Amino acid sequence: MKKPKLRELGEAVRALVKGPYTVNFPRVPSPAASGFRGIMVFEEEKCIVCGACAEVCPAGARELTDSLGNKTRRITHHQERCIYCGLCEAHCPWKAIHHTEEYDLAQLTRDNYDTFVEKELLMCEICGGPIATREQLLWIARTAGELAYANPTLAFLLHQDIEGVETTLPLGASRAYRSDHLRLLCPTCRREVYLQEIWGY
Amino acid sequence: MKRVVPIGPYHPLQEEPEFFKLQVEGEKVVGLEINIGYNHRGHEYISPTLTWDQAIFLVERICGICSNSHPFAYVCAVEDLAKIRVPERAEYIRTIVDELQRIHSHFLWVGLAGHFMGYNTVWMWFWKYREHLLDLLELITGNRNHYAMMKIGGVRRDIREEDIPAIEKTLNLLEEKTALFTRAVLDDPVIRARLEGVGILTTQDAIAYGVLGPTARGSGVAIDVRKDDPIAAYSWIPWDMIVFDDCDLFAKAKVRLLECLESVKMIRACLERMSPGDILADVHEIPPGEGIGRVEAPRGEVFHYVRSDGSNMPVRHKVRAPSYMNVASNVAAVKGCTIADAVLVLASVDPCYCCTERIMVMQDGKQMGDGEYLIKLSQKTTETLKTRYGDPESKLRGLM
Repeated sequence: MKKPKLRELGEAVRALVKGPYTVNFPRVPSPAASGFRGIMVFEEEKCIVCGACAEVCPAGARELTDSLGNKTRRITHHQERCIYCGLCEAHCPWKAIHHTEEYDLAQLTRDNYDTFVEKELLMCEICGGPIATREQLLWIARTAGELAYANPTLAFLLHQDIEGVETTLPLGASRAYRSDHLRLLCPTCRREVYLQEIWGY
Repeated sequence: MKRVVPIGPYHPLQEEPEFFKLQVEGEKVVGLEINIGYNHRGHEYISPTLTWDQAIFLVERICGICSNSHPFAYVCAVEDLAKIRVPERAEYIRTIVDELQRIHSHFLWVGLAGHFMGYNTVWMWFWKYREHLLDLLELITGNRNHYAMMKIGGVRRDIREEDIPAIEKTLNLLEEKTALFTRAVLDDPVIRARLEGVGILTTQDAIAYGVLGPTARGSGVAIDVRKDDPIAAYSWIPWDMIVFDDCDLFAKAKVRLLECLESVKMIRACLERMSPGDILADVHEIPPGEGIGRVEAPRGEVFHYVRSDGSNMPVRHKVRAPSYMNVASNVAAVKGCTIADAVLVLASVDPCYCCTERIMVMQDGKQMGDGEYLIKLSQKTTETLKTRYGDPESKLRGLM
């Protein structure tokens, strides 16, 4: 019966000499281990606002919103909904989002949690609906290589980017017409234009 | 004369909602009525609205403590369904994370048991060194509690070569301290007086109630999924199953404490045998079919069942957590105890209500337990969830 008490005494003496075991946080910083899944940050210049992260997020912490008036598309990260799983980091084609080793999440208002990236949105020249962001289309065009020339939207964008050529033509008839296929078009209008050319309606 | 002492629905000790009605004669407990079902969260419904990869993060949040066991069982079920072969290194990493989680869960239980006994020194000791364990998990997985390690076909993160000395160091510290505290706890006259001969769950009762995990092993039932149906690296490394047939609380404490030492041994064996290689198998599509996954969580066997129709989401996902079996055995264990001991007995199965909860409804102090009513209620819940998460019923209809 005495022996266990002696063992416990050793632990007690150690505690007495070493002082409190806890860290005086936040005055003394307590850094997380390397590779910690902390607060997520966007890298604005890398992000193309494709929305892949919004697709994979299991917690719905990403929101993709279009502003048709300003012609912008915005990806918002709602920090307070994030579950720190790292799926978006794994699926981002541009590695534009990553975990930091920060874990101090306290904020005074809920709005302070939102971070976002906003990029120029290209609009269909016929219906005025959104296609995708300029950078995303350019990325698709470059990834597709010569296959990009199969789609005039991509081809024009590529040429605009390389040569700075202005390709916008004046609008002709009120309905989609064959010459319209040389425009920036959304998939629906592109189908309409080609059907017009093939079958005349 | 019989009187009823209520414990709960908000438990005075454990931070989870459950309701025990102790029927007492004087100090002695003669009966127990258990009411659970305050924590129904609809995991089994939400799961079919998420993709195979996303559902892992949902099941991880079924339980905060066995947050590796549930995804582990889920990925095992999907791998069973799709006949995926997991790379060897991934199997070792899975075993390491699972065993680290087991130590952390057992430390948590022993600490809380000390706290329930009024022996706060034990609580502080164990939680102090549990912190080292959480730091280690943070280093390996990137998170302290929801590890996000499991992936269908392997693991998400490799164990870096440069981290191994740090892991070894923490393991040495843990082994030394666990051995010290195990002896200190097991030799302590106060703890022995509170635990020995209290809360007897006989072997027959344990089998009759179908209890699992340390609860069963403390009652002399030698069952452990790691031995009976080995997954991951459990059949490749040497380890012993800890079984005691004293059937009391002390036996359960002994099982848990000695399992911690066993787990340290297993992690060492895994680190030794691990060779560099792939950590992820190629997974393209999940074919139609069904699969099951069984994993020994710190509390017992976790069982997951999934069914696929070939799409990117499960159509049915069924979860059974070990506390579901273990909590019911309290009825047998608590008989004959005093009220002061009853609290300890109820905590001895390491209950996890948020894992377990199915549904139960009380109205005007009466239990609305009949099947038909529950089905109606379930349909109502489904409607609510449907407005929130969309309709996967069309997928379900094809299979029913």
